[in-house]
Amino acid sequence: MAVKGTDIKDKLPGTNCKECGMPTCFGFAMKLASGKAEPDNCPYLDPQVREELEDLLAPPMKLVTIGSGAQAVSIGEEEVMFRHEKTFFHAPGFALLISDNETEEEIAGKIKRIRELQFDRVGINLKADLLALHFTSGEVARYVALVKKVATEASDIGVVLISEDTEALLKALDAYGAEKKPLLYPVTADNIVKITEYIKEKPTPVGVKAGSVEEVAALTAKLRAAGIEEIVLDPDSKNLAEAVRDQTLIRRAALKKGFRPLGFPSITFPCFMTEEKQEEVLLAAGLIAKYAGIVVLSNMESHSIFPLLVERLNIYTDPRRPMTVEEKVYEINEPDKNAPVIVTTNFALTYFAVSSEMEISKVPSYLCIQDTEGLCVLAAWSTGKFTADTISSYIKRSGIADKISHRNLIIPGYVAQIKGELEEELPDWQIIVGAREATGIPAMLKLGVKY
Amino acid sequence: MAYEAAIETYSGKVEEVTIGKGEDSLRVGGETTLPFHFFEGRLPNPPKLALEVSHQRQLDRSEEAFKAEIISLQLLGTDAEGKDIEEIAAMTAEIVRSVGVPVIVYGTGEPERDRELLPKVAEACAGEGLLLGPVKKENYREIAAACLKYDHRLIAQTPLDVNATKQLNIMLTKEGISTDRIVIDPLSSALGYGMEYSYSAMERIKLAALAHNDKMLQMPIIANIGGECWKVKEAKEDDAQGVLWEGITALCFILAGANILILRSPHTYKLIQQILSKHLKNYDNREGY
Amino acid sequence: MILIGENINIMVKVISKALEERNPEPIQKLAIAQTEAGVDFLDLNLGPARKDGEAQMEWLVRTVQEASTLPLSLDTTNPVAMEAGLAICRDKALINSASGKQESIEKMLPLAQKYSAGVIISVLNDEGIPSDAAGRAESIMETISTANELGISNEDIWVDPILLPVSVDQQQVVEYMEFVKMLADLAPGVKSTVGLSNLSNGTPGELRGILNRTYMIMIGRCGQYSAIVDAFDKELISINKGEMTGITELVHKVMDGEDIDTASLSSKERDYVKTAAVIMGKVLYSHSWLELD
Repeated sequence: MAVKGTDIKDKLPGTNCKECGMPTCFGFAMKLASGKAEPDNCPYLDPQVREELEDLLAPPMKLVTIGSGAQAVSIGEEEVMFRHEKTFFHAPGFALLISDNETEEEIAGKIKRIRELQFDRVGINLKADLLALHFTSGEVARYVALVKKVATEASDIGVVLISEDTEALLKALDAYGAEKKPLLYPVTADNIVKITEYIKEKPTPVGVKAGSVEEVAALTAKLRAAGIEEIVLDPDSKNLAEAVRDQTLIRRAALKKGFRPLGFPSITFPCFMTEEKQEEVLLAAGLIAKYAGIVVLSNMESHSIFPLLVERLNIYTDPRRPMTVEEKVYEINEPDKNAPVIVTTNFALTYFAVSSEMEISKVPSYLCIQDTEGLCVLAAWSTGKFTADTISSYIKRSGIADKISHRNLIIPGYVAQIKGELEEELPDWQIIVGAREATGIPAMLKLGVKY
Repeated sequence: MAYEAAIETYSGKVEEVTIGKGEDSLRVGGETTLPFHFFEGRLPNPPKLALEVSHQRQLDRSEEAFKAEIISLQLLGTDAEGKDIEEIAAMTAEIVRSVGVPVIVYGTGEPERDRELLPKVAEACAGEGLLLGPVKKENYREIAAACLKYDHRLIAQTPLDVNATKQLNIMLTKEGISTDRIVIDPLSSALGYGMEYSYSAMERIKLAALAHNDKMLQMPIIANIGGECWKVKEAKEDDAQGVLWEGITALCFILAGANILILRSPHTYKLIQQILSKHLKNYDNREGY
Repeated sequence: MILIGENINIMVKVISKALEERNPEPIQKLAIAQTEAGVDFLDLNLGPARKDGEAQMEWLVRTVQEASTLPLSLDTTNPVAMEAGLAICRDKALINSASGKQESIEKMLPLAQKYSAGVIISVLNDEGIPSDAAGRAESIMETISTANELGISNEDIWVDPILLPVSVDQQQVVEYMEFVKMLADLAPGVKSTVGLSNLSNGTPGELRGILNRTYMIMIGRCGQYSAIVDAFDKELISINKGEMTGITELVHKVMDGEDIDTASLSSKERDYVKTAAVIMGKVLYSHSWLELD
């Protein structure tokens, strides 16, 4: 659980001096708890108390950033076990596995693919995030060459460096450049001393691997003692049941017990759990739902990565706020000036359901999406956001009238009762009551709301 | 600070519901912990998979369909074929008696229509232990009475509202339906079309059942996703993508707590079956599954 | 707790008709009845008052002041109507309500200063209703400092933490209590109020009273200063007068997590215990909560 203002307030001076900008010390405590103020803003804090405060205020799960620049992936800093309790904050990164054993062509193809596989949904760009470079050839020079190639040809994509051979791993780090913050994997009981020494000089995130959650914790304790805090965890789960167990226990230890050695995000490898492609995709799907920080996939094709990206978007959608789409006139199936016009609200699910059915109908048409602050038709109507006066003013400002030669407007069946009022507000228009459910739209459009 | 596994045990237990009859019957639910949490509780029955068969499609008696452990008959659209209620009930009974596996019957979803149709189906299939629904707050009385009389189980459906779900279950128990004869349908949306709402509703129901020991939410959960998944354009435009669309939706709901999944594609069915059998095998601490 | 009677409300048909016809009788009858019931303020709810708001408010205030000596809480989102009412209030009035929304800060808050009125300020802001106690605290602190800068003292500020129906979101109802507990520390001297009946919106009519009453006891214990209530709920008024200490103590016990032997209780007492358990989030809400064991 994140720290609360009430947990902090007794550590503050209690003088309500207002020098921090807040009217009371308690107010300042609330700001501290929500991360919108720093202990330094209080000039009267005892240094020891300050240190205690900083420890209290550190998030129970650390935020770790892999890569640098605009494409960097930040994971961790989660606050809850279940999304309905608040929300999940930092969506996991998808990494595409490339082995140095693959041919030039295969490698080039994968780099090309991760760039090209981008999708737009509700105005959000969906894409995979990372490349995972895996040493399997046995030839260090070959691995280093791969790493260099990616560093130059795909400098905009963050990487995970994977090698059981520690020498090769560190050479790859040098070749890639620690300043670009690749994730170095794995740190194990065998190489932890060596890697600790090395990355003290060249800090970069590390992935800790051990056979169980407990053993992972033992290793991270050592890293933390050496001042290393950029850590991701791999308890080496062999199947989905083990993964659910391990990921759950890690997150509980961090959030519910405040156990710092496990207060880090995780990395998971569906690519190593199975040989079968579809199964791998499903394992990845399970891991997204159950707390993975990074998901490494052996391959990405449009039909496999797209549903995973949509799932990630769904699971990480903030349940406290309705998903919305932009207020505008959407053109569906290349409409012309005779095309029918449907108006509805900007709740994302309303938009998806309606636009999907309009596409299915194959009828060229316009979809006017009105900003109702993300409320669905009935809720927007009952709170006054989708009524005759708001719809008429939206239709006037939307510019739809300039795109069409007719004046027929289809409204959702659920607000049939506003037809009369809307006709008064939009005297040039004929108002047509459409289907109640989106599934009725194709029939309605095909039967010809003709003019 | 030494590591100690943060194990959680719950005071509640999900009801075990039996569907079908005699040797062919199946049990669902019965767990004392969250999905896949073998390390801290019991999950005696794995999630059960049903394959959806519409009246039109069952006519070709697809081989695949009849290997499913449960068959789900969807009566939606039978009206459009011009069949009357008696005819639909008789046809349903014929299929139910020929398949040799437990059967789920989903009505039209129109409360008024189902109020007449489902009791007739219940009567025609007397003693078969159907899982019958959707029962809604508008028509629960009539359907509950028929299920009591002809010995079936009910699917109680409320749209994404945990409080209303609980209320409907209370009303059903007042009609004399015992809690081990009810399955909860919180309405399942497809990936990309509101899946997260159903996902969280299921998690909330399961947590209320287990952690809060809420008797009126301790029924197994059903996710009827086949139709929802295959009507979206992302599934229609690409079969391989469609299988994953349905498969990911299914797995998410299993992880959220669904005990029965109704699927449309036999490929998805096999894929989920494979996940369940492979990934729960070799799991050292497990009880059940 | 200071009680504000909610019963003069334009949403009620009799009232909207009386207002339209400028017929004082039904309104004055309600004002007198509420006064006799024992509330401390009368709320005059005109809603958005888009058309003719100014004249309506003026007439309404005059009409009510003829019938009752109680101070008034003027309830409209139309600032022009609000000002028209404030200008003719006999006593120190209450503005119901302002919020942290920019428009409200610009148009409503200055009225409080100009007419030395009390002002209800809700935690709503341009981003919506905050979802937890910390969010409410953050929002209200900002609005309070703005109000202070405008010359409104904390004593004139009545914070409305915004109460959502228990049938919609039980967690929010609990967060509300957490927030009220911290309010005195956040902004010393401010008062608080709430639209209490909102709690039971969506609950079947005959069950609304017990929810409202139980919650009044609970938030009163958390330090709530006032509430806008149904003046004709006799049991509520009686609880507020301290005439039902047995019930009050029972509800407090539920809040403290004490085990209660329900077998020895009367059915009314049991109902209060069950209701408090639902409000505390110990039992998931359903319309039949009183019927479950």
